[in-house]
Amino acid sequence: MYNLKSIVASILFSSLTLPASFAQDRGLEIAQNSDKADIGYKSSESELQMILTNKQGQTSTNLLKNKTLEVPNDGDKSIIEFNSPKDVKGTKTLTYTHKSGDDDQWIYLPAVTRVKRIASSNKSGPFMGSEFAFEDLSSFEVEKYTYKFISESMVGTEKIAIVEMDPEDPKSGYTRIIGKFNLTKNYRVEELEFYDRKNEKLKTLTYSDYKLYNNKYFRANALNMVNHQSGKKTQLLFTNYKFGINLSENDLTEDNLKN
Amino acid sequence: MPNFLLIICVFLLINNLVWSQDTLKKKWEVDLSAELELENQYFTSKGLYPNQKDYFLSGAFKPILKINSADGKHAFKVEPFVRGSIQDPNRTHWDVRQAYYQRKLKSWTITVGVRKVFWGVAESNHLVDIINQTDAVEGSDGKQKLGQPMLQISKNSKLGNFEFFYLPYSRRIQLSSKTGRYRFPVVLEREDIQFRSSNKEWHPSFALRWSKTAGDFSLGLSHFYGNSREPLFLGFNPATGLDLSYPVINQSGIDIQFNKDALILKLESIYRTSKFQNFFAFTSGFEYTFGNVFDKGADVGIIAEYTYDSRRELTFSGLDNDIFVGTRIALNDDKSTDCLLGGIFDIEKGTTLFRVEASRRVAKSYKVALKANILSNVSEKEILYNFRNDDLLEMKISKFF
Repeated sequence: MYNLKSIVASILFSSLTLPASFAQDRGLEIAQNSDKADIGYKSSESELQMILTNKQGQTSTNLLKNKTLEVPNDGDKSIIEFNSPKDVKGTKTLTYTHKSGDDDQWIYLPAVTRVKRIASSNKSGPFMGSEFAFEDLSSFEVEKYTYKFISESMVGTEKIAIVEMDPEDPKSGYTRIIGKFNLTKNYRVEELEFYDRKNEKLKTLTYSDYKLYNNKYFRANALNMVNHQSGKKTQLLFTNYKFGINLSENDLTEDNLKN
Repeated sequence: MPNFLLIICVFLLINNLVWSQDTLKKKWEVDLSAELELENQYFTSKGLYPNQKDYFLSGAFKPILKINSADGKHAFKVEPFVRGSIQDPNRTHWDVRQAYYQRKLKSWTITVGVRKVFWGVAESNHLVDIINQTDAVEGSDGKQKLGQPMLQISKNSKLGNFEFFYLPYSRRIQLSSKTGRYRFPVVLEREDIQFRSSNKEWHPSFALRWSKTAGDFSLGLSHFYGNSREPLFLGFNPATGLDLSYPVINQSGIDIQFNKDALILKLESIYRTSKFQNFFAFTSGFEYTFGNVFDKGADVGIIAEYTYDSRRELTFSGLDNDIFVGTRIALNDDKSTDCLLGGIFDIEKGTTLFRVEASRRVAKSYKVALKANILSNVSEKEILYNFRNDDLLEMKISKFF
């Protein structure tokens, strides 16, 4: 009797837990591979055009410049410089992303030549009135999510894996993000679907116009974010991507924001 | 001191020769932008003194030219400023806000020319900030500064950021003319406030600053020697008005900021000595930001700060035992709409200053900014008592190029 019970229990137990732990491991593995595909780029620079479209179809454009330095064993360091709208021209932000805990963030206000360290805990707020939240734009770190593998299938000639990512940070604006990873193309991300705190579908981000840089690093030159609840859209277009630029830790300091 | 200037010139010359050889090969990024501003100021009460006007119309032009080498090693910046005021001749003024050349050598940065430098962490009072003179006719909040000639050498290292400043020339404060507001019964022209040292504005000033961010803490220590920027105020004199002068001072400063999640704690403090007066002052408080309120994207920040200044009634800014409470609302919309509401309350004397500021982008390259300053219950012991009728409503429209 006892044996039968334990056998039944163990069958039930294993049939429930094995796929769950497999789903976790496989999901994590895909995220790690996706992250690994990016290791070694050292530094990059790009110009961004951010096109905001409201419900009525009216657009406004922000121009930004981005410089990023890869930091071994921690998150990236980056500077974003605002070029347009013209009234915020010269404003810069400096971000030190960390694998765990809050990022460090500074803002430089050119009119008063002041560098201010700001609270970076506001992850879910919009960036410059766009459909991108601050957390959507910070560098991807594997440690920031837990993973659940959902499925894998062939789409045309490419193998696409669907993985659920659950943010570890309680301050995140999302309960979950459903990611589509392209396993044939070095685990690059094809699409992210964001679910808000009420677990309702909020936004879809589509990556397109992928280019291969230095024969190794895939970068999407167009990111298209659609907000399903508000009907607004934001398109991010990247130009002049450069890798391995002359950039060091000395260039990514508070003092260096001031000119 | 001319020796020192000679050294700078020689240094610049050598530096120029060294890099002129590869100038032709260098790539330069040239960037020109400008702001054209129209300002309306309306004072709701009649002035206390004869000739003071109620309505002021002025315009300002603020171009910025930036030239950077593509490798980031050389940078030039030129930022002139000019304002023309119809009603207040002293507000009609021009200045070189910035005009400098900057050279980067690995962890070293050398800057020569005219520059604006800001130090400190507080919002309601800027005690530690001392490099530049205030452009007092530009605004009563002291945020606008005059350009300061300097040689600045900075070194960034694991131990923090070290800065050295040589400031060969000091600027005087400019106050309103007889038709203007925020003035004293006796009109003070720029030359009426005297330097105490025999070399006057050419008495050299020096400053050192060390700053470092370590985890949640940001720390700065600074020392300044030279001509005081803020006039020394030794009281009212019925014959000459105010006893004001610029003494030679030593000022040590500390600023600390602690960031944890949405909370920021701040402290800045100074100790200033001169032949005529020694004093201690500090400003401390917090800022808490509620981000993405109701998931509508807006940030609402709560700010509270307390200032103590041992000069008490001789404090030039009037902030000697005051509490500032305010809120900053940023809608984070595509028009960058934001708003600051606040009040400064003097704990003993009861004087209250309310301030509202709001701005929003209109069309593609225009911005509208509104401001209201309201003084109430002004104690006759306050230096602000002279301005008690100067409640201001202001509207600025800027076009950006």
